[in-house]
Amino acid sequence: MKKQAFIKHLDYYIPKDLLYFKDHLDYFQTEGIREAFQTGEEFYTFTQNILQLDKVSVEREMTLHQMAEGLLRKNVEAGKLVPESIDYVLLAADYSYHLENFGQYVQNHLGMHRANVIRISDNFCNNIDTAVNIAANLVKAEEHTNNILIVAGCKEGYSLKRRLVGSYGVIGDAAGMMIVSSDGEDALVEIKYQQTVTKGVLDKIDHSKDNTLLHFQSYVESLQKLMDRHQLAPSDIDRVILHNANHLLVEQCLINAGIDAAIDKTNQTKYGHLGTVDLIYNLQTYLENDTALKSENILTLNIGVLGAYASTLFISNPNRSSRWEVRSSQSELV
Amino acid sequence: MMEVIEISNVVLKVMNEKATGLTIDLEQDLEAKIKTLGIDSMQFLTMVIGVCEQLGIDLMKLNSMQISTDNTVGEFIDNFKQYV
Repeated sequence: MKKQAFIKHLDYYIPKDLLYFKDHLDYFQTEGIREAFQTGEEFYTFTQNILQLDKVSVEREMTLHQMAEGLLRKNVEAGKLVPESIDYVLLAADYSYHLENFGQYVQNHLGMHRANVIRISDNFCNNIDTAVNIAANLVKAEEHTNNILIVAGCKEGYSLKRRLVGSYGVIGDAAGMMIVSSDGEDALVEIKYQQTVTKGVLDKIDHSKDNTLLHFQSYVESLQKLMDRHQLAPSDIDRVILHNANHLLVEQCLINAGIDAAIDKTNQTKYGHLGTVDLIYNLQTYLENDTALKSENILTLNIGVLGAYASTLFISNPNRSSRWEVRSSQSELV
Repeated sequence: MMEVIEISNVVLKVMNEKATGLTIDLEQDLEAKIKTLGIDSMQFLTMVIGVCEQLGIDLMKLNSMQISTDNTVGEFIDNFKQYV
């Protein structure tokens, strides 16, 4: 029987501290800064009018390594992550310098001795989508591969520096985890299809500038290819889960593709764009709130800012557990 | 093929409609960058979509490295002339 791939478990850690934009507008007075916004006021108007966001989450004490390790340990203690069952650890943080050597570390310190470690890199926020796709393919293709741990995360300093993604979003700090499994019993969703579009020419662009048209075209291309290759009609999409960035832009892409599905934007205005953790946080939030336990075709859209655009289709499991454990989010990690 | 002057008028008309009541001063604003006129990135995208609809251009074929809020109004208009 052909193996399938499911997301069995999701969890995340989002720090309690918040960075309010209005308190940090002096950042724009820094000499030599090159961003999409020339002044703090211009930036603030953008975040208010388009993102409807006035703050992002920031971690002031822990490193990303500590955030991710704490999250994993918490899930090991809760019995949600069984270290000896893990066949692969996929590291899918936003930047290459994030979570350096973390794979070998958790292997040794959390007892994942059978696991192979793979680092997903160069696609920024889209690393999580790439990781999901690789995990799904590994589970389906390898007879003895049944459980894959994906670790995601993004963390910057306590300022707006490096947090602005052109006129697209503002990065907040978070760590996340996902378990992809061949076991569909009680799983959250099945991983069905993914279409990624990458454009190498984009390594030359200044990603801090306004690249709205480029993002629009590339999103539409990714979405259209997904639908064409798998013979999906717009009406096949029941739900769209966006990441926490420029939702107005992505909504334009959906209109262009004729998709009129309900859009979940629950987390849009809470903590900013959590990079690779957005998919984990938003998917979990939606499934947690969906007490009707429907089976739906859920489309997620994501972008890696230097030129990777992913459309992924999940099918939610109506038999998934409706009882969620205590979340790591907004709580102290062990 | 549409006359050049007609393309300019269509683009300006859409810009005015889609950018919340903006009125382009042909004497002065043609040299101004779009973003300095207070047009945000989403208004810009809406403008581009609107111009493409009006001129019958496939939006996916536009050169997105060339068309941006860094264009002056004059450059923005000129960019569309090559597609019709």
